[in-house]
Amino acid sequence: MKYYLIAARSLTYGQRMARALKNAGMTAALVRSSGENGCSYSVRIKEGSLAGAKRILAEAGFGAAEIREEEG
Amino acid sequence: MTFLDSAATTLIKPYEVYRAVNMAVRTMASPGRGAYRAAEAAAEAAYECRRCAAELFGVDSPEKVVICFNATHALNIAIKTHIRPGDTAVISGYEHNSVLRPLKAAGARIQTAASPLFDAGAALEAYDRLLRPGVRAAVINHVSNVFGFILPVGEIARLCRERDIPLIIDASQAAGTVETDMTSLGASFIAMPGHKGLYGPQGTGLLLCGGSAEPIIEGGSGSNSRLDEMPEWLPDRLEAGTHNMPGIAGLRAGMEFVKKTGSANILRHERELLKQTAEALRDNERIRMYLSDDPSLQSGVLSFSVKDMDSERAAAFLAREGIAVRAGLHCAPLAHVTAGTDAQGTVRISFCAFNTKKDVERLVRALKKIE
Repeated sequence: MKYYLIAARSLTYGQRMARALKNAGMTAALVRSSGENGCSYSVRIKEGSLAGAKRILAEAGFGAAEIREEEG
Repeated sequence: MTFLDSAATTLIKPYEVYRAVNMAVRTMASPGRGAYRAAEAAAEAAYECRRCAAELFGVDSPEKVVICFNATHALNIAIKTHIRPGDTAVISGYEHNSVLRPLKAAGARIQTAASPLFDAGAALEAYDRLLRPGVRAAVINHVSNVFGFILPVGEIARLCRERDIPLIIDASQAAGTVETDMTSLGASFIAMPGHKGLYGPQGTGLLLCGGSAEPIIEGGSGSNSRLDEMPEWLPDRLEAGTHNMPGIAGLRAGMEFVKKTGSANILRHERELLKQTAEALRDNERIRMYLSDDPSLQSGVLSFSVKDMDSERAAAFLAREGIAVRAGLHCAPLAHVTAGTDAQGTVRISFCAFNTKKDVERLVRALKKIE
């Protein structure tokens, strides 16, 4: 199964992102990931949820983020 | 022991705080340092602590709630963010050494908006006179730890906003009783301990951030490890090293207690005990109390002096009677200079949500015995 990882700049920022998505009824998990500067965090969502997640996050005030694909 | 020193630390905690600390010690690792359950539990607890504080104090994002070791740590961050050598800082006449010493260490030119005790109008006028172009920052002790004097923070915050002068609020004695709202105050920083009016464990404090801040400690932040500087964003920028998870979990439980009980109700309770104390001691000719004519200008803190007796001796006597108070200058020499009590200091009693009328009765009985 394919997942998307939406990068978060910090643990707390990622927690806030994940909650915004969960509060909107979406399945989202905060995971540790590797970034350009070392350890970082991402919010993982299922394939097919990306467009909705981007919209929810934008409405909640989150800026554009790096997005990667991951096979689950 | 009758504990009347909650202005130092609330020794009596809600049961939920003890339980939260116990749980954290046994089940929580370090937030953001692993992908396993104990690390996730810690991350969740830290977030909930920030979220709870953000709700309690009107902060628009949990990220702007920085977890510190105590209010002194928080104030050091705030002051050293704004003040460089030679910068002018305006302070009240009631500041604690946790403000005075960092200002001095930072090389500030300090201007004191001195005003008589319990005179809110004079305090406002004093700040109004001194908040001029060229002032780098203003600092204010919301509630005096010596006298319980509630300064007019709202009006002074308005002056600072109008004149574009960053305001740092020391909410050490206000948090948990006197209303403190970041949104309405528009302060640059609000600093507070977790272990006084928020009923958390010692080793905790909060810094509510209105904007950017400069770290005073650098180290691991659990993210972006390849960067050789602290991250730019909050809270990571100001939180280096391993978090005090038992403290943070306990602090969250303490804040939930304050939210559930209502800070206004806690303040009302403390003021009732203060009023009971004042009425009972009114006829004791050896006791001089520092009381506001307007009860709305005083929190649950009362200083008094005993005629012909050094304050430390009086406190030692009370300790032998099983009553815990504080004496001396209370780490706030400026407040004593302002109020004229610097020669002998004062004995200070300070109430909490768990004190009762019986505590006051024990205090009054003991003071009748003092020689």
